[in-house]
Order: sequence, then structure tokens, then C-alpha cells
Amino acid sequence: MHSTDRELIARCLAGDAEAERALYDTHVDRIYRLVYRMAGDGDLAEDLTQDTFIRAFERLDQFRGDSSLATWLHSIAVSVTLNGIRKVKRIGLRTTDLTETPLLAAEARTLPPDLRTRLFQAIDALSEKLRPVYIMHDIEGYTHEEIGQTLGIPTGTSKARLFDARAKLRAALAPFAGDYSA
Amino acid sequence: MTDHPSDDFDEMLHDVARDYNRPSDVPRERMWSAIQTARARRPHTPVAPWRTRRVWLVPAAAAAVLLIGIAIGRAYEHWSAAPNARAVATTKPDSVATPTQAPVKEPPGMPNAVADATHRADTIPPEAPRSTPNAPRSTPKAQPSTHSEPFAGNSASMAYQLAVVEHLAGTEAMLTSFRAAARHGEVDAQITAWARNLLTTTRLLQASAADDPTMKRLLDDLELVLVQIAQYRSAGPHRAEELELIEHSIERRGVIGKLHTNTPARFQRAGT
Repeated sequence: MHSTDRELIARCLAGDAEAERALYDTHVDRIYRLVYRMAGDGDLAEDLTQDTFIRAFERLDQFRGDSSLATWLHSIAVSVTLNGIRKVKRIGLRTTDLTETPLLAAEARTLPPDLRTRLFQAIDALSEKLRPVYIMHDIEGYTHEEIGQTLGIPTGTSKARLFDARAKLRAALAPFAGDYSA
Repeated sequence: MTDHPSDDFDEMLHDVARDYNRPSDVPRERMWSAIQTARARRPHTPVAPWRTRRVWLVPAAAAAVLLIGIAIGRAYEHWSAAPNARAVATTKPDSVATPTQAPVKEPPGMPNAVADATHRADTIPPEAPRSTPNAPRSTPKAQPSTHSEPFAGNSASMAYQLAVVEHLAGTEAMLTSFRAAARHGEVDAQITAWARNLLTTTRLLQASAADDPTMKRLLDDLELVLVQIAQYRSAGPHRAEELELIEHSIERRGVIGKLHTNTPARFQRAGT
């Protein structure tokens, strides 16, 4: 465990409010981005990010330092988010109306009209195993090592899942490949 | 033209995918307020040392030792009752005094029957049968051995025996916990306090084990190891070296092995 992490955790466990805020400020941006990418909804992303930090503060005494604090927080975030998405899907509140995505309309001008929508739907349709790996690696730029530690899988499994995810997306977008064929 | 998508197509997908669920600005303050509010609603207490997972090992081990002690005590009570009953049953027809019992000189003027009764009350153990003037002396095997087995016999020695067994089991549990914690270099104050308590008991038991060389040697070894653990300070500057010395001491004396093998062996011997 990094020494600054250790000090920060020790201060948090001692009830230091400034240390808690420092921990939050250090990690919240990256966690929120990942949660938002996976949840696809601002309100839901906020709720899940809050839940992530609430749980993290509650369980900080259980953090053993086997991985970095960032990895530990990301593990909680992914777990919380996947559970949250499952719950939302169960009660049918989640909409997949991707036309609400802010940048969608602006960039749609330069691409085939359905490609963007089809790609986003295809990412949505990826399985629970493939989607986090694809989002973390190809969209958010995490390394396979970071993904492996966060998801609790070997690095090789992360690579294999990314390969599968890309293949599925290519297959889903095959009708649009004609314009780009070699 | 091929049916395979080109690198350009993959790159285009990759670029477009970056817009997938693109996050808005991070609402830091709003989320922080919500987190604080939610945490304030929940009963929050500062994390006490005993709440950490590792520290739970100590009371859990203590509870396990207590249960083992109770189980051993009950088993010992059960097993020791049967041989005593058999001894009484086999010696009753012969009804003799102890081999060391000297012939009784009756006080002048005292009737034989009264003198006999008085003598028996003073010298014969409660479980010994009544003697008759013409009865042969008892055979040694009919008498419980009091020299080779200092703990067997009356209830006081039984209690001592149980205390020893329980103490040895407790010490073994503490040493196991200590070694587990020492491997991570995280021996906390609870373990050293536990060692101090065991050290006190060890010294008390040492005083009563003078006529049992095996037990005395074991208790001496335990005392030395327990002293080292009790004096260990986790905040000390040379804690790694100290832990290594203690570990070396445990290994060199073979304390764990002795505890593991000696306790059941002694217990079994006392029960026969």
C-alpha cells in the first residue's frame, strides 16, 4: 500500500473529516466517469457514486492494502454499479433512449445516421462480463492490469474479454463496414 | 474489397465509442453533501480497534479455548469416574488398609472397636474399604497410584489438572495467533496483553509442578517465550528483529510441538 494511502486511511479511521474529503476529492472524478459510462444516466451515476463512497467509508477498516486504494475503490464502484443497473433493469426504469445523449445530435452529421445509435445499442447489449472490460479499456483507458485487479480477474482474462467484446461490436456493426472495407 | 472490416473501421468504432455515455461535469459538492447526509443518518461510530477483522481473532480464539476446556473437563469427569468405581468394586471383598499403614497401638483403656474406628477415620481415605483384624493386606494394584500421577485422585488435584490442560490449550492458541500476526509484522497490544495473562498463570502453575519434571520443563519453556511476547512493543524501533527473536525462541524450544503433543498425552494418562 502506498504510504500516502496509508496515512490518509489512518486519518479517516481516526475520524478526520478533512482526510475523508481529501480521499473523496482524489478519487471521485475517475470513479464518477466510470460509473456514468456504465450507468448511462446522470442521476443514477450520482446515486451510485455516492453509494460507492458511503460503503468505502464504512468499510475502510477492512481495507487490507493488498491493492492500491484506487483499485479498491474502483472494485466497490463496479460492484455497486452492476448491482444498481440490475436493480434498475428489474424495475424497468432504465431507458435506452440514446437520442438523449448530449453529443449525439452534433456528431451524427458526419456519420451514417444509424451507426452511432447501433454502436451504442451494441455496447449496451454486451454481457455483464464483457461490457465493463470494454468500457474500462477502450473508452476510459484503463490498463489490463488495472482492470484485472478491479474486477478480480487475471490480466489474460481481461484481454480475452476485450477481444470478445470488440468482435461482438464489429459483428453488430457489420452492415456499416462496407464503406470502410480494405 | 474484402468482407473484413478495415483498421479504419475499427478506429472509427473506437472513436465513436468514446462518446458512449459521455459523462457530464462531476457534481462534486452535491454528491459530497449527499454522502455526508446519508452517513449522518446512519449510526456512525469511530472504528474501534476491536472492530477490525484481525483483532476479532483474539476473542474468537479465547472462546474456542474456553469451549475446549469445558469439553475436556466434562470428558475427564466422565472418564475418571469409571476407574474409581471399578477400583472400589474390586477391593471391597478384601477390605484392607493401605500398604504403608502401620499396625495400630491402641491407647490403654480404649475398647478395640472404638480405637479401630478412630484410626480409620484419621488415616484411611474415604474410598478405602473397612479393614478387619484378620484380613490380608491389600495388593498394590488395588490402590490408586499417588506417586507417579500427582494430578489423579482427589478433587483438588483434578481441578489443578484441568487448569493445566486449559492453560496449555490457551497458550497454544495464543502462540498460534501470535505467529500468524507476526508473519505480517502486526502483533498488536491485545496479543501481548494475552501473553501477560498467560505468563501470570504459568508462574502460578510452576509452583505446583515441582514434582513433575516434564510439566516443569514445559512451563519453564513457556515462561521464557511468554516473557518475550509480553515485553514486545509494536511501536518499538527494532520490532522486526524482536519478532524474529521470539519466533526463533519458539522454534528452538519446540514449544508448539510440545504443547500439541504433551497436553493430550497427559490428559489421557490422568484419565486411565
